[in-house]
Order: sequence, then structure tokens, then C-alpha cells
Amino acid sequence: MSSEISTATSQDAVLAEILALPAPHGTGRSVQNFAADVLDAVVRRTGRSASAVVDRDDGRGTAVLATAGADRGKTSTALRVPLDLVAPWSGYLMLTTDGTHVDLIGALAAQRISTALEYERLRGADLRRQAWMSYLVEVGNLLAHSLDTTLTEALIPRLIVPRLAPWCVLYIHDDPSVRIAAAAHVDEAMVVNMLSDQHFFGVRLQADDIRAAVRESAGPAVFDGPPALMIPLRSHGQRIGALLLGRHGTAEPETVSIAEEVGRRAATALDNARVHAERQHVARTLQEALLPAEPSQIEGVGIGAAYLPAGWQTQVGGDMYDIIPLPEGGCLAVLGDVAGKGVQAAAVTGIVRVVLRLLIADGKPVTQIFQQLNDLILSQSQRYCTMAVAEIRPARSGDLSAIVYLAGHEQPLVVRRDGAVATAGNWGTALGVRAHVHCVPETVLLHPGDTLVMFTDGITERRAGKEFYGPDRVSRCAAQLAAHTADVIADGLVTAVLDFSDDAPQDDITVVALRNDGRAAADASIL
Amino acid sequence: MDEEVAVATHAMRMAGDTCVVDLSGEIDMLSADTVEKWLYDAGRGSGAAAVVADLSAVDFLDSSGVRSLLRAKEALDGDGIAFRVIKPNAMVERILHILGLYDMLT
Repeated sequence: MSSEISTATSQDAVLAEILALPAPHGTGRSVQNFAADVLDAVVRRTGRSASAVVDRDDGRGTAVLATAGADRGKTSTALRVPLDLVAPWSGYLMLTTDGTHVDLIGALAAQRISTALEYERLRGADLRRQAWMSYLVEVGNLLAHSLDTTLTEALIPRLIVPRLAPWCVLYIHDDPSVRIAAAAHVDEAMVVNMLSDQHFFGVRLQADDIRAAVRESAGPAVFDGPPALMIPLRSHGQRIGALLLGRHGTAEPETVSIAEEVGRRAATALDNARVHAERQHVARTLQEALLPAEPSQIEGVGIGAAYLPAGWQTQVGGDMYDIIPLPEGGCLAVLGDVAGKGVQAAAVTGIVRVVLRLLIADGKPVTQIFQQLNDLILSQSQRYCTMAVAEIRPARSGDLSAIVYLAGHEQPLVVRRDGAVATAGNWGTALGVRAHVHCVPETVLLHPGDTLVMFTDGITERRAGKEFYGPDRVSRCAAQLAAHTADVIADGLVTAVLDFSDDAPQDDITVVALRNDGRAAADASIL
Repeated sequence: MDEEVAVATHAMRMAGDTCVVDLSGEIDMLSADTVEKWLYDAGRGSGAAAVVADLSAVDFLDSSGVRSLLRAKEALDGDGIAFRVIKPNAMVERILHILGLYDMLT
């Protein structure tokens, strides 16, 4: 039923006009205006109306993009031309005609509008992807610098709210239990409710089905009361926990995949923090095994020990000390320093400590113990060990005698109660270097109030720029602490050495102070 | 206070049948292995009967540094090449005395 309408523009002219319309890409013109121009041209041919309808998958359903003309005639034929769009976008042109054939014009109009829409879709997706990429990079950077488990847990939901979800809960799977580690909400005040077992929100977040999903779900899961999306967290195949993200309406596939990406980064960060915490624990346990379980109580001897390992928390140092009570009164105070740091040094330190205790229990003289340790270290290790031993025994008139044995170690200081300071002991050979250990013991008397201060080279070699703390500063500092108890002297010296520089210590710092806490015989006789 | 990091450097010269290695900077955990190699290579490569490490420009020697000297000495001794250090500064000399290694290394 074709009939020509003379007033209508010819088909070729309309086709040419539609083809000539400049595409809106990069011109700043909207797709709507462009579509309106295309439909105007169509209507010039049909004399009736045309509209373009599109669903951009933005949650608003189908919407009219543009219209042109108006239905005036009674006899009209409707023609529906689908737009060539990529799912989930869809749309069509609705053309009413008076019967004129407009298939070709409709197809061309649909094609031009489709192309413009497709460009808009890709451009939008590109911009969103760029925004998501920079968001993920930001998330990755923030998490990469977080090594503390508690802080990492607290950080994760705050990276998600409000960017990805209005609220978020981080569940941690501590087999078999599931706990809420952290929560965030766009409305800060709501966080209290989320963590409350009184408030319905909190109760719901602790519900059995959610906990079960944290334990079991393998992929993203959707919940309805309240609407939420769960992203399981895994690292190295281990179930670490899950993120629960609040949502408005349906979860968009894009949000889900971004949430999964954030989840992957969060799981890695949690795993790293956990490994770091384990390393700290191992270092601390190992270190504690190298130190006396509890400060011994030796009658008449005040004992102060201060120890500061280098390599904050995860490193094990090579310093060790021990206080071994002697059966006939007094004690052996041992301070050792194995060259180097780390597990290898600590292993040598551990051997030295155990063998030392055994040999001392056997009642061997210290010089012989040095020789045996020397042979052991020579055969077992490339490292050498320096050691200072003070054999403290009660002497006459309330004095203590201190026999100082040195094997490659700094000389201890005798700090008199009046502040006079002198070195004690003769330098001897470090253990594990030569076949024969040269050691000449020296005896000093500690009068009541006098203190013997032993320390490792972490004290003298502490540096600020090019300057070393050095033996002279140690002496001056010890002199100022003379009137104090043994533990104050030990702590005071370590504090002064630490304050010498802003840098973290490069080596273990250990001080053992032994003070004659007895009263002079003369004082006792007066009473 | 953050001056340039003082790393160890070295230069070699022959004095008769002795190869003198002028060390400078800091011989510590970071440079110890390199220093050990320098000293050993000095003996191996030069065909010298003795290697002498001149420490006059060495500012600092820690326990790793001492180990590098001991290991170099052990390796050179094994090849029949004598090794000793000369001109340590006061601090380095003190460290060698404390360790009971002054006589052995000088």
C-alpha cells in the first residue's frame, strides 16, 4: 500500500540528510540532541512521529531518548526498529507512518543512533574503569603499608565505605569461630548499632546464616535482610574471612567484581600482617629463650639487666646474658655477644648459653669453660663470640669479690659509690677465632654501694652520624648513676645510649649491673 | 646528620713482593664480604708473597668487619701468603685489642 506524498521529502534526500548529521562524539553535543536531529529528518519523510527509547541499564528502566513530530493522521502504521546495542543496554525506534515505506530510513536512523549510544556506553565504561583502577591502586597502596593486624582489620571496611557500599563489615574466620573484626557505615553513628548484640542490625549481622556463609561460601553471595553482598576472603587457599557489603537494590556486576578485587587485596594484606605478627612472635620467643627466665635473687647482690634487641621486633640479636647462682653463695654473671645478627647468630647464642650452664654446673673453672666454648664454636661456626664473666663471691667486711674474665669483650666498669669509675679485667681472646684462648682473670673488690657494670659493644658503637657513643661517654654516664640501685644504673645507661641518636639501634644493646647491696661490716658492728 | 653513606673503598699497590691494599671507609656488615674478596684477590691475583691491609683510612670496623679480616687471613694463609694489617686508627686498634686479635693481625 505505497503512496507518494508530494509534500514529503524524497527518500534519498532524507537518507543524505541523516548521513550528513555530524556524530556527537567529542563535539560536546549530547546523544539526545543528535537523536532528535535524526528523528526530525525521519519525520520530514513520514510526516508523522518518531521516538527513540533506550534502557541504559542504569536502574531507571526504559526511557525516551528523543521524539519528533506528532501523530495527526488517523491511518498510521507503526514500525519498530531495534537499536543495535550491546547487552545489557537495549532500545528501539518507534516510527509511525502514513503507510510510506521507511524501512531503509528507519534502519539508517537506528544505526546512527545506535552508534552514538554505543560510543556513549564505551566512554562511560572507560571513565568508570579509570576511576575504579585508581581506587584499586589506592586501596593496594594503603594496604601494602599496613603490617599491624589490628590496624589492617580496622582499615579494610573504611576503604570500602562509601566508595563501594553504604556500610561494610569485616568478618574474620578464626576456625571454628567467626568474629566481626571491624565495621564501617556512611553514618558513623550506626557503627555502634552494627557492633551491638542488642540492636536488630547488630543481631542480624551476627546471624547464623551469615556466619555459615563466612565459613563456607566459595564465591560472592547475596543476602536480603539487610540487603548485602558477601565477598569471601582467601589467601593461599586459606579461608581468612569475608566482607559483607551493604547495597541499594541489586548488586551490579561491576560492583561485585570491584569488591572481589578489593577482597583479594584485603586478604593478602591480612595474611601479610599475620605472617609479620608470627615472625615477631618467633623472634620474641627465641630471644626470651636466650635470656634468663626471671632475674635471680642473689643475697647481698643487686642485679640490674637491661636488654634492647636491634632490628625492631622481628630480628633476633646475638647478645645473651645469664646470672647463675653459685652453691656456696654469690653468682656468675655472664654477658656474651655472638658476631652478627639474625637466626644464625641466635642459634650460636643458644648453644653457647646451654653449654655454658652445663659446664658451670659441672664446677669447671671459667678459664677452662672459655677454652671448651672456644673449641665448640671453632668447630661449629664461622662466627666468633665475645664474653665477659664476673664471678661474684662474698668476701670479708661486707665486700664482694668480683673476678672478671674477658674473652674478646669490652672491659666492665667498676663504679664506686662516690662516682669514681675505673675499668676492670684484662683483654682476652674472643671465642671461636684461635686454637688457644688467652685469658688472664682480674679480681676487684666491690665495697658496699659499688657496682660492676658489664655491657656489649652495642653501647660503645652506638652512633649519631659519624660520632660514636664510645667508652668515655659510658664512663661519664655510669659515674652520674653511681648512687642508684643496679636496675636504675642498667636502665639509665641504656636510656642515655638510646637518646644519643635518633636512629634505631643497629646492634643489640645489653647492660648487666651487679651492685654490692650489703652494708659495710663497720656499719653492722655499730648496731 | 644524614651525611653520605661511608662505604669501603680500596686501592692496591705493590711494594717489593708485598701487595699493599689501602682500605678506607667503614668495614661493617654491608661491606665485609666485599673487603674479604678484595684482600683475597689481592693475594691471588698479584702473585705477591704477602698481603698488607693499610687501615689508616678505615673509620670503623664492626664484628662483621673483623670476621672479614680473619677469613681473608685464613684463606691467604692456606695459599701460603702472609697477611697482616697496618696503621689502624685508635678506635680500630682498640677493637682489635679488645678481641685479643691485635697480635694475630698485625
